[in-house]
Amino acid sequence: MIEAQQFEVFMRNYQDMVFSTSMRLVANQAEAEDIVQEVFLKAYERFEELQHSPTVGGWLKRVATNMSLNHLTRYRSRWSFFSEMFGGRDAEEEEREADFAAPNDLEKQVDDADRYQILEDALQKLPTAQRVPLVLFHIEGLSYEEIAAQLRVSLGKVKTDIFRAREALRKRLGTKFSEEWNAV
Amino acid sequence: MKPEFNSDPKWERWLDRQLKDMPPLTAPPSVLAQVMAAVARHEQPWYRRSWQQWPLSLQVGTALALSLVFAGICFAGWRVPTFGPVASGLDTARSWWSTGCVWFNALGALAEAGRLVVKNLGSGFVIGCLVALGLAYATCLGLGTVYVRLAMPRR
Repeated sequence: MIEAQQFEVFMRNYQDMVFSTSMRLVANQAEAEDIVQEVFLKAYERFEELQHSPTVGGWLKRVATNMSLNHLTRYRSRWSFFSEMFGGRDAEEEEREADFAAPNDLEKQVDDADRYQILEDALQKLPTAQRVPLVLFHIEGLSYEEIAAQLRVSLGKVKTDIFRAREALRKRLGTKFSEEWNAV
Repeated sequence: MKPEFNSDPKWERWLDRQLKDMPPLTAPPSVLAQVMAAVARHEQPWYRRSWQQWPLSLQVGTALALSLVFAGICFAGWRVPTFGPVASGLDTARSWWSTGCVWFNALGALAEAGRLVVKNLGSGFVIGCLVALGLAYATCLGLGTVYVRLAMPRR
């Protein structure tokens, strides 16, 4: 019998990481919470071996990533279809783009909030077809080939979507942070 | 492999660093409680969990058992009415049912007669009756209260 308190401590240590991974992939808080619950239930079943494992963080991240991608699977065929049909501009993207803050609002946001929050918001407003490969590449550190295999799409599509995601972010954030990134 | 699409390398490097350095999001406080509740449910013995969470063998076993029960009921519905004692029992039940139907029809006729009476008397009369009933009830309540106060004084 596992001590509930031990598991609670374990969960407190990793819940933010698991939630971040899911949230950045699915971009929906309620769905991310469901995924976190599933991940930790899986962890609970293997808690005896996991609690002393040095690679538990990696295991949780991998499971959270896989579960988030599985969650997105049911939308994937529609997503690929529209993404390819309209050159990456699906209905969801149109909708999301409409939600983006106008440059003046963004200016104000920069004053009010920190850069990571702005980046996080911009990331979550990207269409799924662009956000998922971008997160997998830049945050999860997967290669193009690994992403293509994970998403079961062509390598070319992964590269195109990541490129489009970067360009979308540059369009929205690049001007504001131009001094910073030009100094890199 | 060299990518086919290249962003500005400076932007790409900056973005890569920013994304990698992003602090983790804070999980909502409700998540911990939800997971611990799910864990508590998970710890319950199988018979206290929902059927979907039962062990597979038990799921299959109960599904089979229920199918057998269903088949048995279907078979009984088909064969039993022709069985002697059951057939006479069914006749008795039918006679009870027909008696019940007669009573039901009589009550229905009475209700219809009542409806016609109310219709002919007019809504003003009916409202007056309802008000009189309400007043009578209030009077009874008031008299009862006065009686309780006078006959059973507080000590």
